[in-house]
Amino acid sequence: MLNNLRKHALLPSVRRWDSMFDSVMGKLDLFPGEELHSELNDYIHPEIEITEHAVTVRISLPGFTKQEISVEIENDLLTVRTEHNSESHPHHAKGQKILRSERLHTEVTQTVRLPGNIKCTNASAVYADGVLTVSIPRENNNCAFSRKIEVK
Amino acid sequence: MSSKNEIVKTDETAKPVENIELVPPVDITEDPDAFTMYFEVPGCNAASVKVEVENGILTVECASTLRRSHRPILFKRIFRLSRAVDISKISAATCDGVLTLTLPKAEHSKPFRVPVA
Repeated sequence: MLNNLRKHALLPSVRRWDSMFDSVMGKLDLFPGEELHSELNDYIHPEIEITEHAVTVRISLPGFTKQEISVEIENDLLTVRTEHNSESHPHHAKGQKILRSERLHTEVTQTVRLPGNIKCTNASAVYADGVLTVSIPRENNNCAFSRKIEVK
Repeated sequence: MSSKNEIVKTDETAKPVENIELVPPVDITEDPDAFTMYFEVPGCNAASVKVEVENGILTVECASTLRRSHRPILFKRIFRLSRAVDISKISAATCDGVLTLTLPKAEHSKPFRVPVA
């Protein structure tokens, strides 16, 4: 604890911060240390659901708009790219003082390997509540990569 | 062997699916009239967000539709508010997985400009 406090005292940026937003829990201390930062930017893995008829991939992309997201399928790789428009940074508005900045306002690129037998021409993507859901139908065609060879 | 399996089964049914709690990253800005907090809560909408203030303690809980290891994700974060915030005027909105809380400053905490005659 003492070590923690000392670390905080060394950080000059702490002084700038308003005292109102110090948090209650010990681990959410006045300044998020390295330990907390790793917890905060905890990577949320894409959720991949594979059934016989479809593949559904859910990717967490909070704070983006539909226009900023591009989805591409090349062979068996699904690539999702995002780009922030400068207007979408809410904190750059005039007269706003930034007290805390923990969110990562960076571009995101996410690649997921898809299973075989997908029909990418019929793929669809929906963005809602900060989650992108990509649905790709699959063909019931098992012979593509497996084949029984008769022994003579 | 079969009895062993049964025991495992009953254990599973007795245990409800637990949420996995994550701390959402937050940005906080200040302008002359209000503080604004931006919580990153993907998979949450107005129906799944709970914001409470009790004894000056602000609690934000957002149940996400996202899962980790088959457990639903719950974003939870607690802050202590100062008396500079007028808690009766706090407003919240969700958009694209970002929860925006506006905490207007109380009249008594705003700077008072003395008019010079």
